[in-house]
Amino acid sequence: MDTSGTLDLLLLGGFLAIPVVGVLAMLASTKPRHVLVINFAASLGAGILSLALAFRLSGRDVIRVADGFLRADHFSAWHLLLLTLAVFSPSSLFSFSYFKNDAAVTLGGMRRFGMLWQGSLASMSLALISGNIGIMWVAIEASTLFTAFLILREGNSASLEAMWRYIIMCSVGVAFAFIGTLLFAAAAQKAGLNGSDSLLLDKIYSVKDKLNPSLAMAGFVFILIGYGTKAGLAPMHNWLPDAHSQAPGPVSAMFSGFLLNTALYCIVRFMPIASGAQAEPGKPLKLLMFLGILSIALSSIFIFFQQDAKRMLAYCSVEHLGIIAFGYALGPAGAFAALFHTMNHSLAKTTGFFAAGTLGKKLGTNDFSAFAGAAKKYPLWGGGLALSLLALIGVAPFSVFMSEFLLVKAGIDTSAWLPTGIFLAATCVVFVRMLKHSIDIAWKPTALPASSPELVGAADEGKTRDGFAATFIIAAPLILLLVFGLWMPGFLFDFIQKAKEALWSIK
Amino acid sequence: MCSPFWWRSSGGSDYERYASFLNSLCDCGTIRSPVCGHHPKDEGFLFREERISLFQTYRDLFKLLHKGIVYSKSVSWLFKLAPLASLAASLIACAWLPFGGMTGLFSFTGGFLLIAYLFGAARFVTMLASLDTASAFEGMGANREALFAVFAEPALLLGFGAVIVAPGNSSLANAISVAQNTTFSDYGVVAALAAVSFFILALAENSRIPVDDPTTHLELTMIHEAMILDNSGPDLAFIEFASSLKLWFFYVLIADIILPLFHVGLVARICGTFLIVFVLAALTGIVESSMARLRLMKVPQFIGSAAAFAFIAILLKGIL
Amino acid sequence: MTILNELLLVAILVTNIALSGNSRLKTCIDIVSIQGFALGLLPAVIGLETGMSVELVVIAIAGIVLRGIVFPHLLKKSIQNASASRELKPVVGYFLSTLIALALIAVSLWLSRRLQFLDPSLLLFSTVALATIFTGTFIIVGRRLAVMQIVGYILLENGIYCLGLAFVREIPLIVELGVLFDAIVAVFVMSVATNKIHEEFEHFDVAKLDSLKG
Repeated sequence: MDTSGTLDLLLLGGFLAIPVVGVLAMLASTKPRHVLVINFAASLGAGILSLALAFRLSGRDVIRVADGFLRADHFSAWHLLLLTLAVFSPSSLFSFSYFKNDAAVTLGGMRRFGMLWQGSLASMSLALISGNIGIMWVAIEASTLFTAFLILREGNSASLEAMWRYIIMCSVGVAFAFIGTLLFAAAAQKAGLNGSDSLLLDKIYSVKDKLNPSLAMAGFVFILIGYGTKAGLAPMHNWLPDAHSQAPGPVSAMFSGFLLNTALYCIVRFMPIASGAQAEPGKPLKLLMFLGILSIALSSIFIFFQQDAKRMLAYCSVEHLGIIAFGYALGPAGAFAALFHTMNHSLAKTTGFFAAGTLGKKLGTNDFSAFAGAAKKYPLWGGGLALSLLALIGVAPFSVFMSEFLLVKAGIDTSAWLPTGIFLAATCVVFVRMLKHSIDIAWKPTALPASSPELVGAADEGKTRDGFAATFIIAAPLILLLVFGLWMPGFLFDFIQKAKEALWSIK
Repeated sequence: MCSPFWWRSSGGSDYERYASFLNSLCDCGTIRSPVCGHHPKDEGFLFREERISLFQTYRDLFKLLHKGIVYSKSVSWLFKLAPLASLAASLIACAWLPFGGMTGLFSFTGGFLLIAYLFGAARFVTMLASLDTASAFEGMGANREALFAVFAEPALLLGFGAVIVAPGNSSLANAISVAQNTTFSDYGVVAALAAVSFFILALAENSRIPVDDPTTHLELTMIHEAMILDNSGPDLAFIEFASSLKLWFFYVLIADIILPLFHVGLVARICGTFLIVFVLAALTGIVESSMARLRLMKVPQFIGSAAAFAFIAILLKGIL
Repeated sequence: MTILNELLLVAILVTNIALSGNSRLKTCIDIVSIQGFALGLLPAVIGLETGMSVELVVIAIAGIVLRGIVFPHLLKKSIQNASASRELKPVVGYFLSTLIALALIAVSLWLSRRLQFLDPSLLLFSTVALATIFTGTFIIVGRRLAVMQIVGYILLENGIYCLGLAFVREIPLIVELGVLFDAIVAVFVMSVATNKIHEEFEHFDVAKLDSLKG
């Protein structure tokens, strides 16, 4: 028991230790490229650690260390796997090709990038493995602060504007989430928990029937608005398109791929507690459903009129976060689809941002009209963008189709007709619009005359040397999306099933 | 029971009533001396190199009363009436003022509203009279006075509201007798806030620095003084005496708010009132000698802060 | 509730109103500092009432140092080389702002009265906390200068801290310190961002940052 406890501590503590070691190594390194290598190694190390955590959880429901301050169950392990393996590792690998030939790359600049990157990794992991809702808040706020400066590109005033909007909106939003946290703690203390227990997730869940319903409801509203701002749920999403479009490529991918999901994770963790406290358990879910559907509907309109590729992908994230929230809000029935969709969205969206970011850098603009026919000039990036757009809108063999299909099924099963109808209508709008973009990128004749010499040079460079790593990070997620769309392995199914159970009964 | 004041609603012997009123008449001048003198750059009794008498104001009034009056050819009866009317209004207002636990000469429910209107009336006749002279400066002074009154009157009513309006008690004297049963933790913060509010009002209503500089020589920067440029002799004495009474009224009111918290006997309360009034006068002196006049645009904000304090006091009364 | 406690809370209320009616950046920062001191002293005063503990002392000292000294210092640094010493055209004018701040106090009192779970003796506490939160949010929305938005954020944080003292008396020390640390880093990051905005655009006016749309 003792050795097993130590192992658990090492496992969960590792998520914080690896970034720290990574940062120290970065300080010791002397070349910008080395910093990026260390950055990738640390991200991958966290990925391996989360795999180890997933194995350690087989046959157990929950790992709890440090008096429950840190705890991991299948639900958090699932998110950790996606965070490290589907988002952070590929994105840090992508940063090699993104920052290649970049004049702004200096040792100091890369060190700053790497340290902030590791800080974001550590804070997001901490949010996922904390069993204490106060620590969870601290971690989310810390992730806002770490990621803020990642948006900034030196000498670019638009990115500065995006960063300011991001800091102010998210800090204020997350501050409101702390009010919600306090309200839950107050409710738990009224229900008989003592001071330090009143912030522990599992302890609060164990007294959920005794919580004051109006207090828990008010707490959930604050949590929803607060973390919802960070998760980019409409109507608190204003910061999101700016930050996503202005940040460097790897950072946009990380924002869209998982920063939003981490905040949604926090909302969802409060869901069983809040609905357990109500006489009518569906009440908190309805609020989440409303925000989810609003995000889907609103973003579809913005996507329809959007000409900027990165901004469109950003609104697409609002839409997909809305879809995931919608899935969770359907209760246990939709949780499976929501968890599955989380993975699909992370894989497809990071790929999309890799491709769009690189194309944008090569062509000097993010406008879709300039991207026309890009697949011929840059087969990897143009083709990757076209395919990831197809994956995102849920074209049939890709697994996004499967998860959205499951979601519609859950919606019909729970007879949530109106939300399901809106969801279908909005996704149809998005489907049509983004299919057009995808076709343009793949087949439309090139719009830009390749007259400017630097663009020609860039084109040659793009054709000849993409490198194995770049091919891998574009191809691997797309292949995975294809495979999971056609066939779901048993172990994956079991894991998501267990994650779903862990969500609705916190042990 | 044989009191002529049959409309009274609160206790207190007739002797007490007369005493508190007479006090106002006799003592109001003494506090003006510590606060201000009548020489330019004169910072009053506290900060002068050469000491002036506590009774300097009375001497000045006496001197003025023995002078003749000069009227402009263009003024009407209104100008001649105004100084007397404003003195009368201030005197009547003082009749409601409780002193050191003694009830005022009059006291009935809602009396505080009458006080506010009496002060308003005094201001109104002064303003009319200043307009009557058709002097450009006096019109300007009246204009400013009217502007500040807009801010000061709500603040005054809110302040009265803070100390008075509570269940079952709506006259000044009652409020103070109720406050005698309270303690610091119940009432202390409310009293402090109300006192601050009234102190700011006292500065504003009586044209002291930082709202107005009574000793200024430049007519353009005057407010209250600009309105009485044409008054002279006994008329000026009346106006000065009325303004002394007003200052006295506010200081005693603050003392009345604070003192009940200490639960002391009648003699101690009377001594305490004098002490507090003197301290407040000294405080005004300190403010006058350490601050400059505010810019005209800032004055509404300054008076507004009195309203804000009174407002918080009222809210707190609801809480505590 | 002791008189000390009440005085500190009322001081916080008064600073809220003073902040919403003041245009000079330096004065505003000084007012924030006063509020920080008052807020930092609160746990110590509560300790006098209910029994002092090491945790309370640590929290009080950390609060006073950070909220009373470090935050204002950071803010002062970020306006050091600023061109503007006062905000001339706020979204909401100063007189109206003061009235709104007063109205917000009334609203918070009304809200606190409606919270049935609240111990009546904590009514003042929660009114002050809510009023500070509302005023902070209002300042963030109603001012255009980046520095004033940071001031609003600090107010928001202060209010939430106060709310925590009112609702949840026993928060574990590590969480409390974590929250405090996050607040300080947030203010630091914001003031660095303000400096960058000033370098880049030669102004602090956030309303003029409007190139990103759609």
